[in-house]
Amino acid sequence: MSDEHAPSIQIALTVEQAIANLSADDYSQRYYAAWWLGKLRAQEALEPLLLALQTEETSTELGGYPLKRNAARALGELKAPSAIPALTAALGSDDFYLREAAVLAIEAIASNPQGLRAAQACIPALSKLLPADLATLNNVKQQPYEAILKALGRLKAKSAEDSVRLFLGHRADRIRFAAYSAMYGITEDDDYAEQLISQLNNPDLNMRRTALANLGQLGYLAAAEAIANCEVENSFKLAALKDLLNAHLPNVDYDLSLSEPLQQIMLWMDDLL
Amino acid sequence: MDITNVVVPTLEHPEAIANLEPIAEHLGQVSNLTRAVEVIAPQAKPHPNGAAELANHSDQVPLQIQHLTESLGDPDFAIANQAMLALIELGEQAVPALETAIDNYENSARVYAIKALASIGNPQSLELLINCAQPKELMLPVRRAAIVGLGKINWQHGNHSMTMTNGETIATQQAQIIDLLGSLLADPNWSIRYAVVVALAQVAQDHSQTQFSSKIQTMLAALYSQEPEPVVKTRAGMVYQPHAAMMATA
Repeated sequence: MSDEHAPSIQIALTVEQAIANLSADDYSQRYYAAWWLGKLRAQEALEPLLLALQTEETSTELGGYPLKRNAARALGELKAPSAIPALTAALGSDDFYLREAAVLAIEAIASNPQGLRAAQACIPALSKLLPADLATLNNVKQQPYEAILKALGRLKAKSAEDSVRLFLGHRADRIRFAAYSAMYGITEDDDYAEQLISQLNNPDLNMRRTALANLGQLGYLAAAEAIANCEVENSFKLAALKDLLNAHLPNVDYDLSLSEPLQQIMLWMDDLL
Repeated sequence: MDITNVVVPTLEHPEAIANLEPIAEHLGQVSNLTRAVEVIAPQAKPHPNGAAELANHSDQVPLQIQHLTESLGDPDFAIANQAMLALIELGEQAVPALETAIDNYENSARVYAIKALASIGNPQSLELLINCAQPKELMLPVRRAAIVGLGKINWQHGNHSMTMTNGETIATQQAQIIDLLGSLLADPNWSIRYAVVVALAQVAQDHSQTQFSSKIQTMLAALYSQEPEPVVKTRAGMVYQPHAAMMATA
């Protein structure tokens, strides 16, 4: 789970305590328990978390459904394919951040080989969140486009190719780069990944960082050396190379030819510590 | 006033200085240390044979070290990096200035300073490296560099053998390092655990014949069986399996 949503004070609960707290009277206890169960990746919490995601909830004073968001994030951590229907339903919520959390969770489940097939069932629902043409982009409900595009790429959503391609011209760098990632995932055409590699030389540090992160998440092995040598802080390079390796390490057992290039990447990581 | 010093880099995200890019590009191409020293410290005369030769001109060295240490905080990665490489080459005599740089509050300079100290590997930096490796140090890059440095102490160092004539003292310090590394294998941050594995690989290589070797293998075996992060687990496996460990250190 990204540290972004981690509470500043963390209280260690047992899985049983946290599951019990998911139905506590105090909303903040339920909210914390959902996050904690995701952090622990407690598989036995699957049912209670699904329940938390699906239970009707009045939106908080600040708007939105923070407990449901945390439940969705935790379900992403569990990577349980059986959470897909509930997450798909959450895509229809009027809470932007709940939709975003659900999309990210779907992508996390799809990144697991056992979860990809189940997660592909969301492709129609995800595609519906994209506008039919860019002219309508400003007239429709705002969507977490970066997450949606990356998820469609991860899902190899051939049917969404035309909608995704529209975003290659998007004004916002992060969204445009996500579109390149997605097009690579859908078409497996190296040109899209190479476009991201060329951005590693962009004069803007933030663009280099974004391109770096995208390439890591894609697991694009040919980018490893460019990432290691890019002018970006080592912490960013380490994180990107970790993502890149994690995409391939599970396959080493039945593809021994991967072993040597992956070890080389780890030696580059050694130099970045 | 130099505008480059106005921007204060934050914890791990130094800001980009767009107008410094040409300098970075230029420095990136300048692999020659002498040239870099000239760019960083124009007041000092460049010497054709680099920093090592400069060290012979003892009157220039303190000034040189001062400029280089100041450049460690430069917001431009390329300049800071070249300064670090020059300080590493100056070695021993740069150690006091580097230790001061670590005590300062300039975050990015601290990272380069600890990397330089780790690379020089003077046993007298040991206490500082141990302090910077601990969880109480808030900057992850500083911790990682210190941890890797713990694996690279140069025990045969000249000065050290004079002050530490007792071999047992060295063994005690080495045991202390291994215990510290062992406790850091439980750190919640994956990059810290990764750095510990790399440090242990280095120590294991140096101690293949001693009592530390089996202790390290036991620590790595325990990590290998529990580690949730595939990258850390696989890196540990490279050390833990003897034949792969040779590849890792080749």
